[in-house]
Amino acid sequence: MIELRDCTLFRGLDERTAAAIAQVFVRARFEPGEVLFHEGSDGNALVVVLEGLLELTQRGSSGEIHLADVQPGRVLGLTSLVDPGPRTASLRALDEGEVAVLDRATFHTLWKAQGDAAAKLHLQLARVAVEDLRSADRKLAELLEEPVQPRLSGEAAEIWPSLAHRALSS
Amino acid sequence: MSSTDNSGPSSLPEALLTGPLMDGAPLAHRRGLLQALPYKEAPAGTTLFRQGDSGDAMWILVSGSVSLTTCPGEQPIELDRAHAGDIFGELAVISPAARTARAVTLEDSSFLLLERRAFQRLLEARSPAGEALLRYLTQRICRRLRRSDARIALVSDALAGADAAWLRQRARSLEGL
Repeated sequence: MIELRDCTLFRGLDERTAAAIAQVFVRARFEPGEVLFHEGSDGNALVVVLEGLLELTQRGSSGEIHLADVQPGRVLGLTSLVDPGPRTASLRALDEGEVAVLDRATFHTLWKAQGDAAAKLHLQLARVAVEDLRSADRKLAELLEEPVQPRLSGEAAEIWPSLAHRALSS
Repeated sequence: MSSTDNSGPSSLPEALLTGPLMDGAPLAHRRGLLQALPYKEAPAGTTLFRQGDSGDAMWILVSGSVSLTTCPGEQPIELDRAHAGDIFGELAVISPAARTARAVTLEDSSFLLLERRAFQRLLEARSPAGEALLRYLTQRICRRLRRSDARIALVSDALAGADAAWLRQRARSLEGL
């Protein structure tokens, strides 16, 4: 079990701001097998894992794809607060545990009630988003750099460079 | 190298003042923020920064155009192209790290530079234009994050199939992202 204030989202915040922000999070327990959010559903909350192991999964063309294990300390769904859209993956519990949740409506209320704290939280959200983006781009580059021979043969190996190009260019 | 010219731009592109960059902030505040920034000019063909350089500023393109490229293999790949009113290098203004692309001017260009420290001072002062800019940048970064996540999923999926017809289909899907 970790403390909410030990997660990356709170890194560098002063005591008073951290306390004000921690107070608006809601705690929730979960059971093994429970789905905390579904791919495709409207993402309306940020989730911080405090305890337990979970997994992120996605529907693939040939069944479910395991994207990643999720450990305590991980911040998920931060785009829900700043750029709402459908969830791009499902979050399922493998153990029992606990999460801290901040929904969009509460975030907006925080802007009105405690603007200074909300502004600082927004910058923290941006920082976590930048870290996530940098690690996603590293992962994408690694996938594209993988030696495709001998996994691909003949014609498939010829198509690979153009696929890699499309995966990077705008 | 690019030169610094403190006289500032003769005029700011309309897109910078009324576009999404500081959406929601009063026009006078937007103009005030931009006018306080250092101004630079660079001739065509200037490398503004290289992949791996330490970055501490966001570039706002006042005039001209800039190509952003990465070089994962032998061939450089153009990630994006910025035109007057566009921004680039924006991750550096949020948190320090090495540049992930190379930026080269395609024609004579001029810029405003927002350094991380200057941005932090704006936010500490609760500047409405600064906060509007933070909202815009966060949204833009989240969209980039979603696109990268979708690309990872498609490339992983492509590697799982691995025959030519399958790869062609996945490559087409990547174009739609």
